[in-house]
This record gives sequence, structure tokens and C-alpha cells, in this order.
Amino acid sequence: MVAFPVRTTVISALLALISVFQITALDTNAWEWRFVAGGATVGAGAFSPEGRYYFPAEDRYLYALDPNGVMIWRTDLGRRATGGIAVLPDGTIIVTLARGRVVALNMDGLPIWEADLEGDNVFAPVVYRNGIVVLADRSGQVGAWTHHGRLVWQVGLDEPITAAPISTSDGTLVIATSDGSIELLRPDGALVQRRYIGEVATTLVSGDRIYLGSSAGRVIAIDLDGEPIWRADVGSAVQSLRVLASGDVLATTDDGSLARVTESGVVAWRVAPGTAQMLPAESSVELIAASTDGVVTSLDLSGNLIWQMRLPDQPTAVTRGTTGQLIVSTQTWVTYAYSDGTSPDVTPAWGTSRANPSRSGGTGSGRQPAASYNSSAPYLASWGLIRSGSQSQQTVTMRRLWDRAWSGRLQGDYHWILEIAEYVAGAPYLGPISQSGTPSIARRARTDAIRTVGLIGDLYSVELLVTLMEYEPDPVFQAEILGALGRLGAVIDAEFARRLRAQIARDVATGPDDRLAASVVEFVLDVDEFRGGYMNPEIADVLLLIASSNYSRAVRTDALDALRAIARADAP
Amino acid sequence: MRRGLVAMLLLVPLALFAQEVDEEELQSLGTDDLEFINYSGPYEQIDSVEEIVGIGRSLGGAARDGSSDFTLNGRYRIIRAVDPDEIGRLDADIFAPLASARVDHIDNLRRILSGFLQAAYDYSESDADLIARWVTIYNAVSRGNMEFYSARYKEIVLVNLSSENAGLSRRFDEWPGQSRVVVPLSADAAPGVLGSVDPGELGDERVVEELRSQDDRGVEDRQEMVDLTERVIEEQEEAIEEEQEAIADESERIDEEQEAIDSEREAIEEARDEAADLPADEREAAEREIAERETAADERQEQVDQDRANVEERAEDLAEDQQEVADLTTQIREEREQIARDTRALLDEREISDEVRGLEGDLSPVYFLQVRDDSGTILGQLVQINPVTGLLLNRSSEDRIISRTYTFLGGQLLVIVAEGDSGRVAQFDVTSLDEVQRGIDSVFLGSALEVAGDPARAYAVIESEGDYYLGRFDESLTLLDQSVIAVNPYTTIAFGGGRIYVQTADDRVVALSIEDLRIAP
Repeated sequence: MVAFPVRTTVISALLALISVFQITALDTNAWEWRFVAGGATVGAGAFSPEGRYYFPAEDRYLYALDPNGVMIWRTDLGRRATGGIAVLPDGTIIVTLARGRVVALNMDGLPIWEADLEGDNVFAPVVYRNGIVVLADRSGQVGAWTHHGRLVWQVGLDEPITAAPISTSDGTLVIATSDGSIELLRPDGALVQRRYIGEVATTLVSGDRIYLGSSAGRVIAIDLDGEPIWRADVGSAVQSLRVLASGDVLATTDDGSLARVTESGVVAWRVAPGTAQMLPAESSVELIAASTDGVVTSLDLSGNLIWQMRLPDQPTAVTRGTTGQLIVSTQTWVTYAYSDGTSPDVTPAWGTSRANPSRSGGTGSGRQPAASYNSSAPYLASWGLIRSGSQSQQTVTMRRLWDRAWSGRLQGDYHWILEIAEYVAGAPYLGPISQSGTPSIARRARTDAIRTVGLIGDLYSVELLVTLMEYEPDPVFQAEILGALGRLGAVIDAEFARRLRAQIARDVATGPDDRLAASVVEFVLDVDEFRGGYMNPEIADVLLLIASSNYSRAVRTDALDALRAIARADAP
Repeated sequence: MRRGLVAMLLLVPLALFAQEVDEEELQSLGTDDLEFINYSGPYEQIDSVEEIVGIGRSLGGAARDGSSDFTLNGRYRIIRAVDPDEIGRLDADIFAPLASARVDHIDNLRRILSGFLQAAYDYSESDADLIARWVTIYNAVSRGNMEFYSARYKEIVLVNLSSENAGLSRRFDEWPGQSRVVVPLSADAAPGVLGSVDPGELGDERVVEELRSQDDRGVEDRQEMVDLTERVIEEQEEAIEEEQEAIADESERIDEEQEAIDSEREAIEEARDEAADLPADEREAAEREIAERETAADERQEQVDQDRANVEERAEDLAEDQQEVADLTTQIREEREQIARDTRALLDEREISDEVRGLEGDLSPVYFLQVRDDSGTILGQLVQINPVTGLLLNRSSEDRIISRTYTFLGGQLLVIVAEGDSGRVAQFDVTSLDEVQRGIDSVFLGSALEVAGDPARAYAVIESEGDYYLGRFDESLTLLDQSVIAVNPYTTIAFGGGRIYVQTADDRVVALSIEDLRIAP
């Protein structure tokens, strides 16, 4: 989803190159909804899995609209937004602001954390499926943060960055610099290689390959090892790229042209001048172009016109919602939503299941293959100490790793620290430790391991912790697991709520232990505070069960208070 | 109700007949193609526009070079009225077309101003054009209002203004020698500073209301101005951040220097103790050295104290700047909200169907009070609906109707409108929904509103000297009489048997005589 610069040209020249077409003219006034903000939209906005539309506006507010265009909330960002916005798999919203600031908000629009990069002009975030978000600014500073704001790593490149970084399907970060090179980084920020391409990139996109659009008017295909495959001349500086399922690439240029380049690097067709901006929609059968004289055009992938519409105002951004609506933002602060009558092949941007983050959107997983670190000395040493069998060694080692997670000193070692923490947390029920015959893990070490997983905040850890909760009989560890899930800001879906209810029911039947119930209440409040904006009826049931069972008065009161707190938060 | 710029433009064609176009002026500037002032051809128009803008650039260049009073060709004068010693009020550049100047079109006057702003302050052409438009409106709405100027501008500005020439006349023939256009300057006005022309001052509510009175509510201009102001705010925020960092660095340096001084004093004391044990001849030299070190330490301390005072002063200034930015941000936020409301209203008006205006009989328009929550107060607009199609026909421009119902008086719609802390009865035309007239008496905001009798009279609860009474109004909304007895402001007003039933202030239901509003016998 992108926004286009103001100065572009009329699309009408497209007609000259289309031999046979039937155009449907959409009724400009047949919008499904329209919304007037306190300023023009900055950028093109982003959608949540539930179909909410988030967009920052020039009045420094971030707006959240429901699928019917009704404002749910708006929140003061405090600074001018610069157009970068992303929604993480857990619903966290990342917004880039002026003077290098980035802010993360929960689904209620409440700020969770913020980061300050050195340079101005922070690019649109790169989001990994495990919740890691990579931010880069033009000065060359690049950093990765967990979804709850913990710095994972940070590097400073020698050259300024010229295009928004991207991630390939294997999680490699691709960054283009002003000297005509690209740098490939691992998910932990380590440099894989630096390759001189000879062209300054204005835009990057990835599919099975990396595609670079240059200021010199070329589209360059590069393999995942950084080796150029072909270069195609599209006539003018490339503004945006889109990779089709066939492997062909569509490019828009700054002279208003639209070009299609085949998988083998041949320019199949070019329409010029005209197109202002192309919509990288979920649809696989059409693309949308908009020009500043107010015309929005839909084309099929052969360049044939499907429909055309003239807006009452000059558009600034066009995007397509998760329900297939066409969302058009205009310079007069009005956003319109149209249904164009087509049935786009809409793939939801994000999966709806917390339990399977691999079905979430984004690009790479964010997890690094073990082969990249399993020969490193610190990893081997730590593993050796854990498996040595000495409980004091295990405790000391895990405490050291916990301390690194607590103080945010994870750069370069994020992935192996997480791996060890997960393995130790899972012992004695899950993972390689339970299967290896290693002597029992010290309780203190296991406690620190669980806490470390929560601190690190990788969303892929949620599944482990939820599964562990099923196995764990000890209420002390149950409380620690729930505490880690709370710190992680895990999503509580109906399934997990039912599991919790079942555990509470078991606990009540076997003689209730306040520790479990208290940790459940605290967990619910932690997640509500972090994520905001939900009232899962199943979790209400859990709290009611606690409140009505023979736990101590204090625990029952806390459960009722939690229920009230969540209900108030959810009140319109 | 619509005046201002529309009136200004209407006068221009008359002027073209009444006064020759300024050929002489343009010839002196190197072109003899006067008719192109109305000419639409690009080449000639561009040349002429450029020459006119060039007048402004010449003035701006002179001001930038340091001239505080410059006249161009005896026709246009620019006065730079800046006094850094007076604080609390504004500086200004004053543009004065002199008696021999014959600029006769508001567009040209704006072009001159735009050229001036570009040259004097490095504004971009688009920003300069925008500011020039607002400057002329600002000066038009404050024409001759010395009270307005005195409250806002420094003495050095005021000495150049009078009630006869302050601001801009709406008649072009009252510009030469009779109008002085005041351009408000901020305290840090300088070339390259986006906020040189004070956007908060230009965005004065009277200027905004002038724009809102236009058919398009001046939405586009207002949007552009808030965008410009946002950029000014951001520029100021960046400067504030830089200053905060500078102050922090300086404070750190001062603290380090203070620590060094303190260490030095400790060392001096130790040296003094050691010197006491020295032989007499050595002691004298040591004491001299100690004295020198003490003097040096004192000088350093004096410097540190001075530096600290400077930093504190800078911090105070910074706090003031932050407050100014916060105030401007609040002003812009409010204006954005208003623009958004006006934009919504305009969008609704675009959907008005003209086919069914003036519907009669069974097809009479349906009237509706559409309400909104305005910071906890429910306010409404009259809306006209086509009963056949259900389409919105029209909407009143008045959007602060406080009564929950409407009625009819004298063939017109009657409602209560909120005005400050009280209400006023007001009538609206049934076709156009334009306000026809408004009463002057204070009506309780939550009052019931009824019409009864022949001739028809309107009844509402009025406020008088802290109490509430039933008031009776005629068709001109003049208050004819009021009840003697005080009433509960929320009373129902009911009619029956020639009487009016109300609830008194002590909550009794009583009947009043319809003749004199006294307790009925």
C-alpha cells in the first residue's frame, strides 16, 4: 500500500494503447462510506486482521476506522507522521514520525513504546512474522525491535539508505545505499554480504528474487545471494514495483508511466505518460492507478482498462481494504470507500490464529536458522553449561542470559539466547532437553528461562508457552508461564481462554490454589493493558469462574475488578 | 450575509469602466500591454504578472537589505516597523500603495504582496501567494479598527497607522494613499524562517469567519493555511529541540566546570595546610601562589555563575517558546475541527437535489433537526428532506440550534439558537433555511418552545435578573411581555381553556391568563 507524490500526470494516455476494452465508469457518489479527518491522510494507511483501517493524518492524529468507516478512536501522535505504518501480527500498530521517532500503539490507540533513530525520514517498517520490526532511516541507521519495544539489534551503515528496506522470504534484510550497493543482513543484523549493483535504488520489492527499481530508470532482478540476473530499462526513474504471481514485474515511473517487465527481463509493454501510482493490492487480477487530476483507473494485468472513475477531489493515496473495498484518500481530507463490484482474490493480510503465527502475514519469519549460530562460542559454551548437569551452573548461566534480555543486550545473540531459553523453559516436558536424558533442570534456571522468553518477546514463543501451560502441573511455574505470556502481550483467543478455564476448573476440583487464579487474573490484565481493545467473552467466563469459586476473598475480588476493568475498557 | 471578498470582486468591473487601467505604470516597468491585465493569453499574462510580482520583489529586496522605509518609483512604499525593545506585541511590515499607485485589482495587490514576501523572507511562491491572500483578508476585516491594531501591534507600527488608512479598504479606489496593509511579523522573522509572517495572527477568528461566510466556506484556503502553520510549528519544534539539547550540553559543561572549581578549592585548602608547615621564606611564596589560585578560582566561579544565569534565562525563554507553540498547536487543532465540520457540511450540500425544491402540499419538504455532540452539548442544524426520495435537500448554515424541536411562526421556522451561555429565538426561511431574524432577549437554553394564539405568538422561558419567566414574542421576535411569577426553566408550556399552564419556580403547576400572563383567576 503506497501513496504517491503530488505532481503526476493524467492517465488518459492509457486509452491510446489499449486496443479492445470495455470500461465501466464507477459512480463517484456511490461510495460505501466517507470519512472527513482533521487533515489529509499521510501515506496510505494499514489494515488490521479484523478489517480496521488505520491511517495517520496531517493533524498529527492516528485514526482507526471500522470496516464501515466509523471512527473507533483517534490518538494524538504528538508529531507529524511521515507515512510509514504497519500492523504487527499481534495487532500492534507501528507509525513513523518526524525527526526520527517511531511509536508503537496497541489496538486501543494507546502508546506502548517509542524509539528514536538518529536521522530524520524513517522508512516504512519491515515486519517479521515473529513480531520483530526493523526500522531504518535515511542516515543509514538500522535497528530491530520486538513487538513490545525491546531493542534486538542496531547497526549504522556507512552510506545513506535510499529506499525502504525489505525482507525476502527467508528473512534476509535487503538495504539499498547511496553508493549503488545493496547490503544483505541476517535477521539478527549481521551482514551477510555487500554487493555493488551500480544503480541507486529508489524502491525494492521481493518475491522469489529481489527486484530493485533505480533512479536511472531500470528494473534489476537480483537473486537471493545478491547476484544480478537481468536489467530492464523502463525509461524513467522507478517509483514503485509490484511482483506478479507469474514472476513478471510491474513498474511505475516518475514520468507517470506504467511498464510490465517479464520474468526474463523483457519490457512487455509500457504505457506513457499517465499512471501516477500503482496499487500493490491483494488482488491477483487487477491493479489500480490514480492520477492527480482525480481519475482512478483499474487495469487488468495485460494493461486493459476495467473501469475508470473521476473523484470529486484530488487523490493522495489509493489502497484496497481487506474486504475488497477501494479506499481513496484525497487532498481535501476526505477518505472514500468504494465497492467496485469485482470479486478480488483477497488474501487476508494477517492470519486470525494466534496459535499459528506462520499463517500471519509479513515477509520472513524473523527467526534465524540454527546453522547461523550453532557454532558460535558463546552459544556452545552456554549450552554446555546448561547440559552439564550441575544445577548451580544451569542457574548461573540462565541468570546471565536473563540479565542480557532484561537489559536489552541481545544484539548479535538474540536467536541463540531465545533458543536456549525456550529449551530450558520447555524442559522437562517439551523440546530437546526432555528427550536428551539431561539431568533435571534447576527450578531457578527454569524460572529465569521462562521469564527470559517473555522478556525477549518473540511472538513465535507464544505457542510454546501455551503448550507448556497444558503440561505444567506446578502452580508456581504456571504463574511464571502466564507472566511470560502477559509480558509478551499474547493474544487471548477463545481457544486459549477455554484452556485456561479448564485449568481453573481442574484447580477448583483438586483444591484451589490461589497462585494459579491470581496469575490468571494478572495475566489477563497485563494483556489487556498491552493490547487494549478486546472483551473476549470466553475470558470473561474464566474470570467469573474464579470469582465464583472457593478461592480466597482477595483473589475473587481481584477477578471481579479485572472483569470490571476490561468491561470499562471495552465500553464505547 | 455574504459579503467581503464577493463584494470586493464585484466592484472591480465598475472600476475598469470608471478608471483607466494603469498603462503608465506598466509602461514604466517595461511593458505597454495593459489590456493583458484581463487578457487570458499565457505569454502576455505571464509577463504582466511577473512585472507586478516584480514590484513586490523590489520592495522585499529593499527591506531585506536593511531599509526601514523604502518607496518604489513614488508609487509603492514599504515600512519595516520593528522594535526589538518592546515585547508583548507584534512588529509589522506595512505595505502602502501611494496616491500615484493605481493597482486596481485585488489579484494584483496580492501579487505584489507575494513578490514582497518571496524576496524579503524567501517564501516559496505558493506559500507567498497563500499568505498574501490571508493578509488582504486580515486587513480588510480590520479596516480602520485602531482598537484592534493598538491591542496587537507595537508603537512603532501604530505611529504609521490611522483610523483612515489602517488596513485595506474593500474598494480598490480607496487603496492609493488611503490604505496601509499590515503584515504581522513574528519575533524571529527573518529570511528563510517559515513563521516570519505570524500565522497565528493571520488565522484570527474574524478572518476565518470571513472565509466561512463564502459559499465554499473558504475550505481550501483554510486547509492550506493550517498546513502552512503546521510546517511553522514543526520548524519551531525542531528549533526548540535543538535549544533543549544545547541547554542540556551547556548545563553539563557548567556542572563539570563547577566540579573542577570545587576540586581546585579543596586543593587550595590542602596547599594552605601544607604551606603552614613550611619555613618562613618558602611559606611566603606558597601563600602568594595560593592567593593567585584563589583569585583564579574566584574568577572561574564568577564565570560559572554568569553562565548558569544565562542558561536559566535561556531555559525561561525556551519555556515561553514552548508555550507559544503549544498555543498555536491548540489554535490549529480547533481550526482543523472546524474545517472538518465545514467539509462534511459541504459534502452533504453537494448531494442536494434541485428538482424538488419548493415542494408544496403533500409533497412539502420534511424538516428535521440533525444533531451532534459538541463537547457534551447537543447542537443541531435544520435539515430539509425530500419526502419522495428521502434525499437531503438543504441544510441551514446555522449549526448551533439548541432546541430539540422546531415550530412555525409567521410562515417561518422557529427554533432556539445557542449564543454564548444563553439562547435566542430565531426564525429561518422555510425554503432556503437561511436565518431571517433573531431575538435579542435571553432565552433559557433548555426552554420549551410553543406557538399559539391569533395573532400567533411564540412562548419560551426567558431569563431576567437571575430568574426565569414565561416570555411571549411576536412575529418579529420582540418580547411583548413576561409572566410575573417566576417559572421552573424546564417547564412545559401547555395551553387549554384560554389559559397557559406552567410549572413555577417552586414546582407548582399554575394557570396563567393568556391575556396578561398573570395567575389566572
